[in-house]
Amino acid sequence: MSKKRPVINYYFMVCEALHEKRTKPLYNTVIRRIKECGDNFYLLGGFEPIDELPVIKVCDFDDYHSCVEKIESVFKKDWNDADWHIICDDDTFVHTENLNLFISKLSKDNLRIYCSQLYEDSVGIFGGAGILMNDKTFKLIQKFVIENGWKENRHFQSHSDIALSKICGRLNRKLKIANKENDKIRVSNPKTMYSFNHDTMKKSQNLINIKGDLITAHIKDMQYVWTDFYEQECPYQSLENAFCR
Amino acid sequence: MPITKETPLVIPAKAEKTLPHTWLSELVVNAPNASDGYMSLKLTAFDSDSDEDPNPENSEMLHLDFWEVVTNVPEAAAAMQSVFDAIPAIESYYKEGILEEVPVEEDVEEEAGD
Repeated sequence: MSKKRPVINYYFMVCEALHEKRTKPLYNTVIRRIKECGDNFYLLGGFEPIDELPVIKVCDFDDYHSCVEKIESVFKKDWNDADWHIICDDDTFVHTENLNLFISKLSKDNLRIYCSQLYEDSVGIFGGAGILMNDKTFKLIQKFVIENGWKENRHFQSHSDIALSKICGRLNRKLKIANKENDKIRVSNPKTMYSFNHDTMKKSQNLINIKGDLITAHIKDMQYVWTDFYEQECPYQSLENAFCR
Repeated sequence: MPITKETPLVIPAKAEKTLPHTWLSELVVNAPNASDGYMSLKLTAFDSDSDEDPNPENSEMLHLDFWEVVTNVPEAAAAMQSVFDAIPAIESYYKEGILEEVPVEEDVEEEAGD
Protein backbone atom coordinates (compact mmCIF):
# COMPACT_ATOMS: atom_id res chain seq x y z
CA MET A 1 0.00 0.00 0.00
CA SER A 2 1.47 3.40 -0.90
CA LYS A 3 2.29 5.96 1.76
CA LYS A 4 -0.33 8.66 2.32
CA ARG A 5 0.72 12.08 1.03
CA PRO A 6 1.18 14.63 3.84
CA VAL A 7 -1.54 17.29 4.07
CA ILE A 8 -0.43 20.93 4.18
CA ASN A 9 -2.36 23.83 5.69
CA TYR A 10 -1.55 27.15 4.00
CA TYR A 11 -2.32 30.34 5.95
CA PHE A 12 -2.18 33.53 3.85
CA MET A 13 -2.34 36.88 5.62
CA VAL A 14 -4.26 39.21 3.31
CA CYS A 15 -5.74 42.71 3.36
CA GLU A 16 -8.59 44.43 1.55
CA ALA A 17 -6.40 47.24 0.15
CA LEU A 18 -4.35 44.73 -1.88
CA HIS A 19 -7.21 42.37 -2.68
CA GLU A 20 -7.18 43.03 -6.44
CA LYS A 21 -3.43 43.45 -6.82
CA ARG A 22 -2.26 40.53 -4.71
CA THR A 23 -4.91 38.25 -3.26
CA LYS A 24 -6.80 37.62 -6.50
CA PRO A 25 -3.69 36.76 -8.56
CA LEU A 26 -2.54 34.60 -5.64
CA TYR A 27 -5.92 32.83 -5.66
CA ASN A 28 -5.77 32.24 -9.42
CA THR A 29 -2.26 30.80 -9.40
CA VAL A 30 -0.83 29.42 -6.16
CA ILE A 31 -4.15 28.62 -4.49
CA ARG A 32 -5.47 26.96 -7.63
CA ARG A 33 -2.57 24.51 -7.38
CA ILE A 34 -3.08 24.08 -3.62
CA LYS A 35 -6.68 23.07 -4.31
CA GLU A 36 -5.58 20.64 -7.01
CA CYS A 37 -3.27 19.00 -4.47
CA GLY A 38 -6.18 18.61 -2.04
CA ASP A 39 -4.51 20.72 0.66
CA ASN A 40 -6.21 23.33 2.85
CA PHE A 41 -5.83 27.08 2.48
CA TYR A 42 -7.01 29.95 4.66
CA LEU A 43 -7.13 33.61 3.68
CA LEU A 44 -6.83 35.53 6.94
CA GLY A 45 -7.99 39.12 6.72
CA GLY A 46 -9.32 41.94 8.82
CA PHE A 47 -12.45 42.23 6.65
CA GLU A 48 -15.50 40.22 5.63
CA PRO A 49 -15.47 38.50 2.20
CA ILE A 50 -16.17 40.95 -0.64
CA ASP A 51 -16.36 38.45 -3.49
CA GLU A 52 -16.07 34.70 -4.11
CA LEU A 53 -12.69 34.51 -2.33
CA PRO A 54 -13.26 32.83 1.05
CA VAL A 55 -11.57 35.42 3.27
CA ILE A 56 -11.90 34.70 6.99
CA LYS A 57 -12.13 37.81 9.16
CA VAL A 58 -9.79 37.07 12.06
CA CYS A 59 -9.27 40.56 13.53
CA ASP A 60 -10.75 44.05 13.54
CA PHE A 61 -7.82 45.85 11.93
CA ASP A 62 -6.60 45.42 8.36
CA ASP A 63 -3.53 47.71 8.22
CA TYR A 64 0.12 46.61 8.09
CA HIS A 65 0.34 46.18 11.87
CA SER A 66 -2.61 43.79 11.76
CA CYS A 67 -0.25 41.06 10.53
CA VAL A 68 0.62 40.56 14.22
CA GLU A 69 -3.06 39.87 14.98
CA LYS A 70 -3.43 37.75 11.86
CA ILE A 71 -0.52 35.47 12.75
CA GLU A 72 -1.87 35.24 16.31
CA SER A 73 -5.10 33.84 14.87
CA VAL A 74 -3.14 31.05 13.16
CA PHE A 75 -2.32 29.64 16.59
CA LYS A 76 -5.63 30.41 18.26
CA LYS A 77 -8.26 29.17 15.84
CA ASP A 78 -9.25 25.63 14.93
CA TRP A 79 -8.20 24.48 11.48
CA ASN A 80 -8.38 21.21 9.63
CA ASP A 81 -5.82 18.64 10.72
CA ALA A 82 -2.61 18.74 8.73
CA ASP A 83 0.87 17.24 8.74
CA TRP A 84 2.56 20.51 7.76
CA HIS A 85 1.72 24.18 8.13
CA ILE A 86 3.04 27.16 6.18
CA ILE A 87 2.28 30.78 7.06
CA CYS A 88 2.55 33.12 4.08
CA ASP A 89 2.03 36.78 3.19
CA ASP A 90 -0.15 37.78 0.27
CA ASP A 91 3.04 38.27 -1.75
CA THR A 92 4.55 34.86 -1.05
CA PHE A 93 4.84 32.69 -4.11
CA VAL A 94 4.71 28.95 -3.38
CA HIS A 95 5.82 26.28 -5.81
CA THR A 96 3.51 23.58 -4.46
CA GLU A 97 5.17 20.68 -6.25
CA ASN A 98 8.64 21.61 -4.99
CA LEU A 99 7.26 22.26 -1.51
CA ASN A 100 5.72 18.78 -1.44
CA LEU A 101 9.00 17.28 -2.60
CA PHE A 102 10.95 19.25 0.03
CA ILE A 103 8.57 18.20 2.80
CA SER A 104 8.85 14.54 1.83
CA LYS A 105 12.54 14.70 2.82
CA LEU A 106 11.98 16.29 6.22
CA SER A 107 11.40 14.82 9.63
CA LYS A 108 7.95 15.08 11.19
CA ASP A 109 9.47 14.72 14.66
CA ASN A 110 11.88 17.68 14.77
CA LEU A 111 10.92 20.92 16.47
CA ARG A 112 11.91 23.08 13.56
CA ILE A 113 10.92 26.16 11.62
CA TYR A 114 12.00 26.50 7.99
CA CYS A 115 12.21 29.98 6.51
CA SER A 116 14.47 32.25 4.51
CA GLN A 117 17.55 33.88 6.03
CA LEU A 118 17.17 37.63 5.71
CA TYR A 119 20.37 38.75 7.40
CA GLU A 120 23.67 36.95 7.20
CA ASP A 121 24.93 35.81 10.62
CA SER A 122 21.54 36.48 12.14
CA VAL A 123 19.18 33.77 13.26
CA GLY A 124 15.49 34.44 13.42
CA ILE A 125 12.18 33.73 11.80
CA PHE A 126 11.73 35.71 8.59
CA GLY A 127 8.40 35.42 6.88
CA GLY A 128 8.60 36.90 3.37
CA ALA A 129 9.09 33.51 1.74
CA GLY A 130 6.80 31.70 4.16
CA ILE A 131 7.24 30.06 7.55
CA LEU A 132 7.06 26.29 7.36
CA MET A 133 6.75 23.84 10.25
CA ASN A 134 5.63 20.29 10.90
CA ASP A 135 2.50 19.56 12.93
CA LYS A 136 4.50 18.73 16.07
CA THR A 137 6.08 22.21 16.09
CA PHE A 138 2.77 23.86 15.22
CA LYS A 139 0.90 22.11 18.03
CA LEU A 140 3.62 22.95 20.57
CA ILE A 141 3.43 26.67 19.72
CA GLN A 142 -0.37 26.52 19.68
CA LYS A 143 -0.46 24.92 23.14
CA PHE A 144 2.00 27.50 24.48
CA VAL A 145 -0.02 30.40 23.06
CA ILE A 146 -3.30 29.06 24.44
CA GLU A 147 -1.79 28.49 27.91
CA ASN A 148 0.31 31.66 28.14
CA GLY A 149 -1.38 34.14 25.83
CA TRP A 150 0.08 35.75 22.72
CA LYS A 151 1.58 38.78 24.52
CA GLU A 152 2.57 40.53 21.29
CA ASN A 153 0.56 43.47 20.10
CA ARG A 154 0.56 46.29 17.57
CA HIS A 155 1.80 48.86 20.09
CA PHE A 156 5.12 47.11 20.57
CA GLN A 157 5.53 45.01 17.45
CA SER A 158 4.65 45.58 13.81
CA HIS A 159 6.17 42.47 12.23
CA SER A 160 4.39 39.13 12.41
CA ASP A 161 7.58 37.08 11.89
CA ILE A 162 9.47 38.85 14.69
CA ALA A 163 6.43 38.39 16.94
CA LEU A 164 6.57 34.65 16.24
CA SER A 165 10.35 34.65 16.89
CA LYS A 166 9.71 36.18 20.30
CA ILE A 167 6.99 33.64 21.09
CA CYS A 168 9.37 30.79 20.16
CA GLY A 169 12.08 32.40 22.30
CA ARG A 170 9.73 32.44 25.30
CA LEU A 171 8.72 28.88 24.60
CA ASN A 172 12.38 27.77 24.45
CA ARG A 173 13.07 29.51 27.78
CA LYS A 174 10.15 27.67 29.32
CA LEU A 175 11.41 24.34 27.96
CA LYS A 176 14.85 25.12 29.40
CA ILE A 177 13.36 25.84 32.82
CA ALA A 178 11.51 22.52 32.59
CA ASN A 179 14.84 20.83 31.68
CA LYS A 180 13.52 20.02 28.23
CA GLU A 181 15.99 22.13 26.29
CA ASN A 182 16.76 19.27 23.91
CA ASP A 183 13.22 19.75 22.68
CA LYS A 184 13.65 23.41 21.83
CA ILE A 185 12.58 24.94 18.53
CA ARG A 186 15.40 25.53 16.06
CA VAL A 187 15.49 27.34 12.72
CA SER A 188 16.66 26.06 9.34
CA ASN A 189 17.14 28.21 6.26
CA PRO A 190 16.65 26.31 3.00
CA LYS A 191 18.46 28.26 0.29
CA THR A 192 15.57 27.86 -2.11
CA MET A 193 13.09 29.75 0.07
CA TYR A 194 13.99 33.10 -1.48
CA SER A 195 13.77 36.37 0.44
CA PHE A 196 16.32 39.18 0.63
CA ASN A 197 17.25 42.17 2.69
CA HIS A 198 16.79 45.26 0.53
CA ASP A 199 19.09 47.36 2.66
CA THR A 200 22.17 45.26 2.07
CA MET A 201 21.65 44.03 -1.47
CA LYS A 202 22.49 45.85 -4.66
CA LYS A 203 19.50 46.55 -6.82
CA SER A 204 19.29 45.09 -10.31
CA GLN A 205 22.16 42.78 -9.57
CA ASN A 206 21.70 39.21 -10.59
CA LEU A 207 22.87 37.87 -7.25
CA ILE A 208 21.65 34.37 -7.61
CA ASN A 209 20.64 32.02 -10.27
CA ILE A 210 17.13 31.00 -9.38
CA LYS A 211 16.58 27.53 -10.68
CA GLY A 212 13.72 25.13 -10.98
CA ASP A 213 14.17 24.02 -7.37
CA LEU A 214 12.54 27.21 -6.03
CA ILE A 215 10.28 26.28 -3.10
CA THR A 216 8.94 29.71 -2.19
CA ALA A 217 9.75 33.34 -2.98
CA HIS A 218 8.96 36.73 -1.54
CA ILE A 219 7.60 38.29 -4.69
CA LYS A 220 8.67 41.88 -4.08
CA ASP A 221 12.29 40.75 -3.80
CA MET A 222 12.29 38.93 -7.11
CA GLN A 223 12.66 42.02 -9.25
CA TYR A 224 16.12 42.60 -7.80
CA VAL A 225 17.55 39.19 -8.48
CA TRP A 226 15.55 37.50 -11.19
CA THR A 227 16.50 38.70 -14.63
CA ASP A 228 13.34 37.30 -16.19
CA PHE A 229 11.10 39.38 -13.95
CA TYR A 230 8.81 41.67 -15.96
CA GLU A 231 7.47 44.41 -13.80
CA GLN A 232 4.53 45.14 -16.05
CA GLU A 233 3.33 41.57 -15.89
CA CYS A 234 1.53 40.05 -12.94
CA PRO A 235 4.44 38.68 -10.87
CA TYR A 236 2.44 35.63 -9.73
CA GLN A 237 1.76 34.76 -13.36
CA SER A 238 5.40 35.43 -14.29
CA LEU A 239 6.64 33.04 -11.64
CA GLU A 240 3.92 30.55 -12.51
CA ASN A 241 4.90 30.65 -16.20
CA ALA A 242 8.60 30.40 -15.46
CA PHE A 243 8.61 27.65 -12.84
CA CYS A 244 5.32 25.77 -12.77
CA ARG A 245 4.59 24.86 -16.38
CA MET B 1 -19.88 86.84 17.66
CA PRO B 2 -21.54 84.03 19.64
CA ILE B 3 -24.17 82.04 17.78
CA THR B 4 -26.65 80.26 19.96
CA LYS B 5 -26.66 76.50 19.35
CA GLU B 6 -29.99 74.80 18.94
CA THR B 7 -28.74 71.92 21.01
CA PRO B 8 -26.06 72.96 23.50
CA LEU B 9 -23.07 70.70 23.91
CA VAL B 10 -23.01 69.37 27.44
CA ILE B 11 -19.73 68.11 28.89
CA PRO B 12 -20.49 65.85 31.85
CA ALA B 13 -18.79 66.77 35.10
CA LYS B 14 -15.99 64.38 35.95
CA ALA B 15 -15.93 62.75 39.35
CA GLU B 16 -13.01 63.80 41.51
CA LYS B 17 -10.29 61.20 41.76
CA THR B 18 -7.55 60.68 44.29
CA LEU B 19 -4.41 59.00 42.97
CA PRO B 20 -2.35 58.00 46.01
CA HIS B 21 0.31 55.89 44.26
CA THR B 22 3.12 56.27 41.75
CA TRP B 23 3.72 53.94 38.82
CA LEU B 24 7.22 53.98 37.34
CA SER B 25 6.24 53.83 33.69
CA GLU B 26 9.66 54.54 32.21
CA LEU B 27 13.21 54.26 33.47
CA VAL B 28 16.03 55.15 31.08
CA VAL B 29 19.72 55.12 31.96
CA ASN B 30 22.28 56.23 29.42
CA ALA B 31 25.85 55.95 30.68
CA PRO B 32 28.43 55.93 27.86
CA ASN B 33 31.33 56.07 30.36
CA ALA B 34 32.12 56.54 34.08
CA SER B 35 31.71 60.30 34.03
CA ASP B 36 28.94 61.12 31.55
CA GLY B 37 25.40 59.91 31.67
CA TYR B 38 21.81 60.77 32.23
CA MET B 39 18.76 59.12 33.63
CA SER B 40 15.13 59.89 33.11
CA LEU B 41 12.13 58.61 34.98
CA LYS B 42 8.48 58.85 34.06
CA LEU B 43 6.38 58.78 37.21
CA THR B 44 2.67 58.33 36.74
CA ALA B 45 0.19 58.96 39.52
CA PHE B 46 -2.38 56.17 39.84
CA ASP B 47 -4.60 54.27 42.25
CA SER B 48 -3.43 50.69 42.74
CA ASP B 49 -6.82 49.76 44.25
CA SER B 50 -8.58 50.72 41.03
CA ASP B 51 -8.83 48.55 37.88
CA GLU B 52 -7.74 51.47 35.73
CA ASP B 53 -4.30 51.49 34.14
CA PRO B 54 -2.04 54.44 35.00
CA ASN B 55 -3.00 57.33 32.74
CA PRO B 56 0.03 58.89 30.95
CA GLU B 57 -1.68 62.28 31.26
CA ASN B 58 -0.93 62.14 34.97
CA SER B 59 2.82 61.70 34.43
CA GLU B 60 5.80 63.70 35.47
CA MET B 61 9.22 63.37 33.77
CA LEU B 62 12.41 63.61 35.85
CA HIS B 63 15.65 64.24 33.90
CA LEU B 64 18.83 63.84 35.96
CA ASP B 65 22.59 63.50 35.69
CA PHE B 66 23.09 59.78 36.23
CA TRP B 67 26.47 59.78 38.02
CA GLU B 68 25.48 62.73 40.16
CA VAL B 69 22.47 60.74 41.38
CA VAL B 70 24.60 57.65 42.08
CA THR B 71 27.11 59.76 44.05
CA ASN B 72 24.59 61.71 46.09
CA VAL B 73 21.69 59.33 46.64
CA PRO B 74 22.84 56.20 48.56
CA GLU B 75 19.56 54.39 47.76
CA ALA B 76 20.15 55.00 44.04
CA ALA B 77 23.75 53.72 44.31
CA ALA B 78 22.52 50.53 46.04
CA ALA B 79 19.75 50.06 43.47
CA MET B 80 22.19 50.43 40.57
CA GLN B 81 24.56 47.92 42.19
CA SER B 82 21.66 45.46 42.32
CA VAL B 83 21.03 46.04 38.62
CA PHE B 84 24.71 45.41 37.81
CA ASP B 85 24.64 42.22 39.91
CA ALA B 86 21.60 40.99 38.00
CA ILE B 87 23.13 41.54 34.53
CA PRO B 88 24.74 38.05 34.09
CA ALA B 89 21.47 36.34 34.99
CA ILE B 90 19.47 38.62 32.67
CA GLU B 91 22.00 38.01 29.89
CA SER B 92 21.69 34.23 30.32
CA TYR B 93 17.92 34.47 30.32
CA TYR B 94 18.04 36.51 27.11
CA LYS B 95 20.38 34.05 25.40
CA GLU B 96 18.15 31.10 26.27
CA GLY B 97 15.50 32.67 24.06
CA ILE B 98 17.73 33.21 21.03
CA LEU B 99 16.81 30.82 18.28
CA GLU B 100 19.55 28.53 17.11
CA GLU B 101 20.14 27.74 13.46
CA VAL B 102 20.69 24.19 12.30
CA PRO B 103 21.16 22.90 8.75
CA VAL B 104 18.19 21.46 6.92
CA GLU B 105 18.20 17.76 7.78
CA GLU B 106 19.40 15.24 5.24
CA ASP B 107 16.76 13.20 3.53
CA VAL B 108 14.99 11.30 6.33
CA GLU B 109 14.67 7.57 6.06
CA GLU B 110 11.50 6.45 4.34
CA GLU B 111 9.00 4.99 6.75
CA ALA B 112 7.93 1.50 5.88
CA GLY B 113 4.54 1.58 4.17
CA ASP B 114 1.82 -0.53 5.68
